[in-house]
Amino acid sequence: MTCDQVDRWLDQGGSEADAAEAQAHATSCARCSVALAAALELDALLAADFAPAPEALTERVMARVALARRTAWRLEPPPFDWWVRAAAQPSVALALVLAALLMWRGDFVLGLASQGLVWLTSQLASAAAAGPVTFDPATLAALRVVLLIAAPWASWLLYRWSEDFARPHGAARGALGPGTAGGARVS
Amino acid sequence: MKPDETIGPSKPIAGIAAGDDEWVGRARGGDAGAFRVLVERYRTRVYGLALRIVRSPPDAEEVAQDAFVRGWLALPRFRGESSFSTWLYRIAARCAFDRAQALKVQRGREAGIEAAGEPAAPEPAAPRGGKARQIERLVAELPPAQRAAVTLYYLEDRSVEQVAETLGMPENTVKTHLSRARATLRAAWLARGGEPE
Repeated sequence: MTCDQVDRWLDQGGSEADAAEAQAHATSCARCSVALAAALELDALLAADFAPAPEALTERVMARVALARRTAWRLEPPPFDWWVRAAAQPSVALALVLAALLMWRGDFVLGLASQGLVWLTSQLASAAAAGPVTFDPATLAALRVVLLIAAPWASWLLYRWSEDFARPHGAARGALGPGTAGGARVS
Repeated sequence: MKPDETIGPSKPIAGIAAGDDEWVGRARGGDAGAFRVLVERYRTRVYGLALRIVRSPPDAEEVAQDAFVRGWLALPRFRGESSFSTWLYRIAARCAFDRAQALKVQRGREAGIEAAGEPAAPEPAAPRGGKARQIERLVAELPPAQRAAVTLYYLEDRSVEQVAETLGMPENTVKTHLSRARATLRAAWLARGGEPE
């Protein structure tokens, strides 16, 4: 093992065989011997030496705990895997339907969207008593992309808004979402 | 055996999680006395993690308090998918990162955006040995993500997987942070004359 390999082992770790080789090398190399000793000492210091917490920390925490009221609302997340919960999201369902439609009858969907845009354009044009507004193909394509993004997003907003009907006053939002399964998402 | 275990001479936090389940179960049910036991058990580590991220003892204490209170409030939703300590450290790390970010913004406002930098190095909270102070200074000079990774690595019984889970990072990213932190610390330790005993 070379000095560089010893350095790499010290930084990244390695197998027991690597450790034995590194230690063997260090016995015959002054530089690596010092580096190994420093690494071991740093390891021990980092592991053992945490600054002591203030004496009153526990009492202060418990005083705040006594004042803190747990929210009574505890709807447990459903016992499904994350992908089931994610798939059950309305936005995901809508996105999947749109994607499937685009793949299955893409021409039809895009044609329908184009007709809708044409109709909208003509309505706007007539309302403004101006000439018909025309979109170049790039703008039209951009509008379609925006539509594909905006539809699931709007659906998600609708879903979050609908949560308000089930959420008691004062309870945190998002407790029904998949991200709260471990309970660590505290806000 | 985990590869990284070959570096260190000891296993520092072994056995701390033993016996948590009973207290966690009781605390989940609203037993504040049981929660006090958990606070006593983890106060040094939560405070130490916070101190290494925010680098200011008063802010670290506030972060530790916030983390415990949030833990208490969120405990009914804790389902034991990870260990209680990992779950608690995750809350503490998140609180500490939020506080560090707020401090950075606050200092940026005070000193002008150009001069905005990291918080000042901490004053030791209590009299400690020279090497302990030295190592704290060196750790304080690491970037925040490396500080958090190094600190959690030792808190989490040298498990890269748990550090990754706690920080919400891929394991390879954690390994990179750890590797860079070790290289930096070792070089600085040798350069500053931290002679091995």
